[in-house]
Amino acid sequence: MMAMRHRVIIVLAIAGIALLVLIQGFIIPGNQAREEQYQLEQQNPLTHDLGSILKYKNKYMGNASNLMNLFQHLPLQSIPKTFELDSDKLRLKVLFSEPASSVKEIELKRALLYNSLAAYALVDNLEVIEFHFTDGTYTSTRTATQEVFGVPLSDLLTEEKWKTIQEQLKDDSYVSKQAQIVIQK
Amino acid sequence: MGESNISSDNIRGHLDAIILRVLCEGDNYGYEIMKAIAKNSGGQYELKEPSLYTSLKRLEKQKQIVSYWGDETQGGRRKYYKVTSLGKEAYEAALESWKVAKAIIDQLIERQDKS
Amino acid sequence: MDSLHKHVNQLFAKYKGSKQIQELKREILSNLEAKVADLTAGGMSYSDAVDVARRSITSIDDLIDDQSKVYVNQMTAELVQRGLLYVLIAWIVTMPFRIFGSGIMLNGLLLLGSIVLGIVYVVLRLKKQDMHLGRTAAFDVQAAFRRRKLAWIIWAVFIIVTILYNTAMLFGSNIWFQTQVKIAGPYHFATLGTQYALPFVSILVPMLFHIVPGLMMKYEAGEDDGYEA
Repeated sequence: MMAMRHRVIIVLAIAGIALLVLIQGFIIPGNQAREEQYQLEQQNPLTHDLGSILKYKNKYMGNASNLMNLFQHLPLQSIPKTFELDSDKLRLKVLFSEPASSVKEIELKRALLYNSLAAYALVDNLEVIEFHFTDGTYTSTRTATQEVFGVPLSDLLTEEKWKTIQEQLKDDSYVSKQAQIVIQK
Repeated sequence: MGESNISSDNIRGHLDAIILRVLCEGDNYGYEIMKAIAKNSGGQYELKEPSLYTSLKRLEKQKQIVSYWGDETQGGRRKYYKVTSLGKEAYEAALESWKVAKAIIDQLIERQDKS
Repeated sequence: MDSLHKHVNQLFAKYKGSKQIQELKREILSNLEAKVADLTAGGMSYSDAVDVARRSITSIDDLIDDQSKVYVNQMTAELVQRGLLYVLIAWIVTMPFRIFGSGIMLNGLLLLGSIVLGIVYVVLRLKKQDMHLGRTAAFDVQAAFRRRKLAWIIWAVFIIVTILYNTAMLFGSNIWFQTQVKIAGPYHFATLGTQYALPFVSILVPMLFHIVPGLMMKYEAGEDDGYEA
């Protein structure tokens, strides 16, 4: 019995070490890499995951924490920022603490376009967003955004339609053209 | 029942000697020892199993008795006990001390009719 | 003598491992059988006789020695071996929890335990020749039984408390406001499961207490080894 248990112990010890190596050496690093990859994709309008922001759908822009959480899960999330809400004018101010020039111009346009679209589509009574950078302000309105993407914006919140828009946003000239309409400097 | 309880209390301290007496008359096993004690008391005292085993164990540890398994051909085998010379000495000593104690206790407890 | 046999087996249920106690068991059974045979010969019905016999002895705990002489080094060797086995199993079983991030501490502790016990185990095995396998020490088997019972009771209380605590922490507001419990996806479910499952690893402790009395009886030294009461 003791000898038998001795053999079982040796087998278990070897199996345990193998499992530990597998988990620590492969599974956890793999998960981390995937997680990092996902986080990276969330920074980019073209690969951003609609599923990660659907839970911030809300009728009212007055729900401040909801809006703040939404912007923490959109592109430009890595730039430190604060928020100001003007409920009378249904206006959101996003105050970035970095200059707009820290991002490539076309990427900035793509991100502002995408973030505006997402915010108007998800928050029903939001009308105006002002993106304040240390070196300038960009403003978008629901009306202008609707003009570009069609009405109503909340209808676009399906995986399929969203993908089509992300496809279109790949085209730099398309982005420049639409940004002209939507974003006022 | 009450009466037998009182006698149990008085007897308890002498169980070892009572069992030794039975075994001095011949090797025996548990149940027969109990029967012999009941018979010796004229049916007035009945030894209980737990007390029997406790006493036997104590006597064996003190080397006053030894045990062996019988070779019954029919039924279960029985564990027999045999008194040792140490046990015989202990029995004689217990008998002596009991006689002395009995005499003293008689004198102390029994009413003496003064003539 | 079936029901008599059963009765005696029940009396001795927890003392399975000890040879000396087995001898007492055989003795008690044979005497009870003699009693039944005698009573039936005297005219009593068989079932009544068995009843009388059963009632004549209802517990043997008082007949078991308080102190048993035990081959202590042999017992320790097996206790360490079994402990190592249990800890290894617990370590392996909890390893997948590492993936979810929770339970890393616990798994690390179990790994540490495995290593420490493993070293002790290897040292004991290497030193086997020099060890005095005949060395004995006196142990109180009855007390070991009591400690085992106590260990299980404490463990049961601990488990109930942790389950209640977890439930209060996780779903307290759901229960209070009678709202539906929402489990958001498999990851959340796994985290919840972990939180409930991990405390059960502590079953190691009462399990070790559980095997101690059995080991004491298994490695009990015989009466004839010059032991004086």
